[in-house]
Amino acid sequence: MPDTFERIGSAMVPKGGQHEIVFNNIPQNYTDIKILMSIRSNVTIGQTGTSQYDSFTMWVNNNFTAADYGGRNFYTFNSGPNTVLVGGETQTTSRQIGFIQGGLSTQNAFGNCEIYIPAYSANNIEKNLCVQTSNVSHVTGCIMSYAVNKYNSTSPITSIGFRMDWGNAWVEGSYVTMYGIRKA
Amino acid sequence: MPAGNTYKSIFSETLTSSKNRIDFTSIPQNYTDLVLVVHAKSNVANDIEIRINDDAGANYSRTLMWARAGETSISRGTGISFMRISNYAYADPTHVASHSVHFFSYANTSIFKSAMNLGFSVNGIDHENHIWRSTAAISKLSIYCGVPGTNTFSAGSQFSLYGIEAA
Repeated sequence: MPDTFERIGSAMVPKGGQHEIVFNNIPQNYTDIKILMSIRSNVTIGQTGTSQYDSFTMWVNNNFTAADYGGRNFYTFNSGPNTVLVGGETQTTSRQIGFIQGGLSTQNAFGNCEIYIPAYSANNIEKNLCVQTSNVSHVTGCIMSYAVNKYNSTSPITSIGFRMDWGNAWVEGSYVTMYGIRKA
Repeated sequence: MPAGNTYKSIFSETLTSSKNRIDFTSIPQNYTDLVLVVHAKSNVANDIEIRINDDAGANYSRTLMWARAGETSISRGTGISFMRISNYAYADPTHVASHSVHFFSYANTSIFKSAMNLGFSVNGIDHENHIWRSTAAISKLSIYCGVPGTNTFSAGSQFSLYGIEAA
């Protein structure tokens, strides 16, 4: 029986926080990759202006050319008593993939994120970065999102990086784990 | 992390040329659940359909929520002759569609079978739940491009089936 769902990388954010996490030299002997994240931002002024949430960005193969990515997201956002469903936003020049707990959400609450990348080691088809995130705050505000980011290259994915938007950082205790799902 | 007998790769097929149908047959019955992962492009814009055990009867239903450009909604369909796993997360010649379909209790012969899938494409995002009105154990899955048999998945498309075992 082949090993599968095997941990191939992990990162724990140290004291003082961390702005960027990168996994290099990803082994190519799996079919798919799954990444699980438990993360929180130190944001004080974030994209939504509430500081309850913050967004982050993902890239692959050290490619920072926005035009090489494109995608769509779909999210629910709750701020106070009303729920607003926002959806189908086209992301043609951004690699922004999700939202996480911000510095004004409930203390010690971390957001969750799962990223699935099918056929990441294939060399004849473009890649999709498939993302789910969810966050909840005890006081007010929660956000859930689905997002897909297409990487318009048929090259195998050998490195993956994450960076907080707006120059912010993940707080201590945030962690990211990468699993390989092995071929038959 | 030690790997148990779970998330075990049962079948995996990567297309070297276009194909209109992928069959996973003689599915072993010793897991609790199945997970099907589809990563595919197609010759024309097309939904991705599944038939279970070659059942072409009107025995499939689904409930879904979806998002596409500037729009989100929910919908449902009943009495369908196939399991359509994409709505707006469909494949086309330039946009690859990625779907993960979880089949629950697929070997249980006392219940109808249910499945949940999450699909991603630049065309849209789908979250769907399905039911197949049969108590038969699932022993065969056929994945089609479009209404069964009409179009083709492109070379490079990848299809994987995993077994999930109970603790």
